Amino acid sequence: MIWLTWRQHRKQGLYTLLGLVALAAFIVPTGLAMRRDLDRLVGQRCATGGELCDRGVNQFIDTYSPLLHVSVLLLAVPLLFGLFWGAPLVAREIEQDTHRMIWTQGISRRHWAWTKTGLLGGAVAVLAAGYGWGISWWYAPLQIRESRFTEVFFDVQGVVPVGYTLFAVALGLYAGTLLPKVMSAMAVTLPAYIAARLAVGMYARPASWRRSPAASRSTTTST
Amino acid sequence: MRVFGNTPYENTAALADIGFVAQDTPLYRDFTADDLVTMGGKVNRRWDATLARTRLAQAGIPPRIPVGKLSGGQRAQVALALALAKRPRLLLLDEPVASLDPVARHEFLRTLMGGVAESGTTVLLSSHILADLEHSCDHLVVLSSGAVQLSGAVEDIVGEHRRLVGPRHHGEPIGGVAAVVRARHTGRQSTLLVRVTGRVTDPAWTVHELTLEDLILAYLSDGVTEATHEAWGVAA
Repeated sequence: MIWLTWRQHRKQGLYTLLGLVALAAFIVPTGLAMRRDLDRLVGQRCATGGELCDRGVNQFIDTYSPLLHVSVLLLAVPLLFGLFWGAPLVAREIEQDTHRMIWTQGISRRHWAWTKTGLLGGAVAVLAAGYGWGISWWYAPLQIRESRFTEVFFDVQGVVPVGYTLFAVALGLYAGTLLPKVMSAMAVTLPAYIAARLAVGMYARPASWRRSPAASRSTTTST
Repeated sequence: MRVFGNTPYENTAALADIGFVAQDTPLYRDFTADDLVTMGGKVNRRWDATLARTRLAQAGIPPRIPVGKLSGGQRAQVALALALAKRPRLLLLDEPVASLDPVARHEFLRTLMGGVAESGTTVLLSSHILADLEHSCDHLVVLSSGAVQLSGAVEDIVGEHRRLVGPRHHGEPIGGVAAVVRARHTGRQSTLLVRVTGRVTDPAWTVHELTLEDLILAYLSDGVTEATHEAWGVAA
């Protein structure tokens, strides 16, 4: 079963890795540049304080604030996992009729389902953890401008993307069992995930987050 | 339902005894035939990989080409080789040859007969291709509109059915005839498909032997169509 799961999904895994490598090709150079500039403009100057320090902080913020907008795009990453890992898992088998072949071999359907979701879910969790850790590293210098506990920025780093990604995959998997066609499953997963995501953003977050980010900034940048 | 005395539902022991080839022989199309043989070994406790490889070699299947690129006949051969490699006691084949050309169909049935002759496997095969049945089956069940029309050993079935041609028949008994299965009437003549118990001695009737194909066609030809007539809103 492990071999089968690997053989069936290795191409998909490769594409995912390529996507993450492309992302790394963006965050590693910009992350290093930010660190260098943070040290030059803020770290060295602000040891003594004064006007030079303030100007350095402003210059850093002016240069790297646009990157904060880029990070909004990262919100879509868990959704991509849901669409391309979750939705086809069962739907493709049924669409191509191969469930008649694999479910009549010598293993039970339960065994098949647990092994597949376990291995793929585990792989997805590992990939998402690596991704979340990478974004946390990348984001660290930007905390001078935006607290990591504000909306959007909280949602793309650390363990939070792991949770979102597993949720998206589970959602895609469920849609794929209800609508055993890959395209229909994806078409349902997309709005369902966005709806769930908006509901979390609007109703499940502390009210303080919805105030201006500046309010919370003063409390966290000092740490 | 029971298979070899066990319930097959959620029962992996029963699954091991059953080989199944679904209609249109679905396989993972990006797997090579060699991959599929490996896969079979991973998902079955009893698996004869040598048997599968031998059969695939005999059938001329290339081992390293994705099965999606093979012809329908070759894919059917791959699916059959996989089912046989389980060394099942029961082999279920759902219209395995429906979409194959005559040569591929012949090859498929030859492989099947060769494969099961050695092991004594029971084969349950559904097919619309009547000519193939006479050569490959011992026992026949004719289904129409979800109901069993006829069931029995092929030899007995052929042996006990006759076509009678004679004068207009109005339902009176005929010596040696157990039952009239189908009747067709034209003017002064009747053609009857009958089940006989012995020789039909009445000289008014000409007795014809039937091939299995004729017989099945006769049983199937006037299936129940009341429901579709109603659905179409026309008189039956």
